[in-house]
Amino acid sequence: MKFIVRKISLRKWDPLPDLEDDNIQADAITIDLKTHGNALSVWGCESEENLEDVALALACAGDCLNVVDVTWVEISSLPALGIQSQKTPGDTPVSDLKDYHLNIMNLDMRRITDLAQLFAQRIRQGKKHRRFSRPEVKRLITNAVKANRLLLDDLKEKIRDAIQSELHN
Amino acid sequence: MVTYASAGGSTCFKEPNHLVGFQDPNRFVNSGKLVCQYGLAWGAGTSPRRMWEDIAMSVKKVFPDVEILSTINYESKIPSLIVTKNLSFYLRDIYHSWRKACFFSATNEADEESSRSEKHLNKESPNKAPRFAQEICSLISLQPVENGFTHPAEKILMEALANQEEDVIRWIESILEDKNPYLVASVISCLGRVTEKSHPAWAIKIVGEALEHSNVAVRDAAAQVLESWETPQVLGLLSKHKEKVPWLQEYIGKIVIQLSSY
Repeated sequence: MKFIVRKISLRKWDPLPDLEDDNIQADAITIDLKTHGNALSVWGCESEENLEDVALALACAGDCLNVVDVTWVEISSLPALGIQSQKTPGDTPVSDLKDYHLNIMNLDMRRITDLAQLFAQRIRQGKKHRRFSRPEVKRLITNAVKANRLLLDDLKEKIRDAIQSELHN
Repeated sequence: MVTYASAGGSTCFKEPNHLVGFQDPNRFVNSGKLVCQYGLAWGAGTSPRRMWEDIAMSVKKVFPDVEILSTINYESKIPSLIVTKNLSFYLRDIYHSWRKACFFSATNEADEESSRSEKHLNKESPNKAPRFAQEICSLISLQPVENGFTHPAEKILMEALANQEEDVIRWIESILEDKNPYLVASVISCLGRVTEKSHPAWAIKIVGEALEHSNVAVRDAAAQVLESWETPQVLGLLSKHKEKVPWLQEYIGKIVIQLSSY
């Protein structure tokens, strides 16, 4: 896999006004890069063309339809920061995407800050972030259902209802 | 004044009239149980049973699917609560929520006592936020509103809209002036979600105002709500908006194209 992709909320990655230009909001780290067991859940992909699959995996794991914001960095940039990743099964009903999940392991304060800086640089360069709008997310899920990549019953109620009406249209 | 202290493996929550002790939920993650104990410390003018029921109701309201088994020893005046939930990671939320519930309950009891003594039984303080507003703000402070996931504040907001719509409208209008943009953005997102199908005129007006907010997080929340409503009614608001932040400008442009095609 070439990139690691993380779901974020773009608004948290703008610098705070009235501080130095390169500041990173605390919420970006404590909410968007929230760790469990000092590990950060990310998705892997081979190319930026595969970002739609990551958005699909992320959207299906939720319980309501909203925009999906993602950012990504090259997996090759992690070793220089002393950061390791490990493949773990992803929490998504899309079975062919489960193997594209990774955990970034053994994160301490320095490493999570370094990672946040890496993401912030990429986002602020305007090249490595993408917002999937709500209709785009709906389309991705609908197409996946049509292609039998996931079952409607595997989706949470609100998403299922929205996709069902999309399928009937 | 609320103070916190820790003693003997339990954390204590100290109120003017109450001392509430509970065991650290982190110690119960593996067992999937949270055991809480409530003890009456100074007890002036309070009823342990009533307060206990308030706490249980508050926990149930926020987490409707938790199972609450209570064993109350009225003689010793030390009721205890066992909350169980299959998903143990909810424990921390239950713990915080319960602690807040204690706070609200204690505040209400204290208010009642004060009202009785001042013979102002039916008079409410004009500056006091409605109960639903307190609950929503406290839930938002405990758990961020995240895209793709339902937030517990939505349920409170929905109930409040059903029972006291005018109070809700007044409160949400006033929240736009709040100094905390994170709170404003979160309330706007919740409003959008609970009015997704109906999107009444007053909500369109409020979200339209939020779109012109000085903070980008609030404007983004408003733009997402307008997109989710999927109605050309909001096209005018989006078209006339002048956005400076590039990624949000791009997103709003996309919404305008989408809505124009309906």
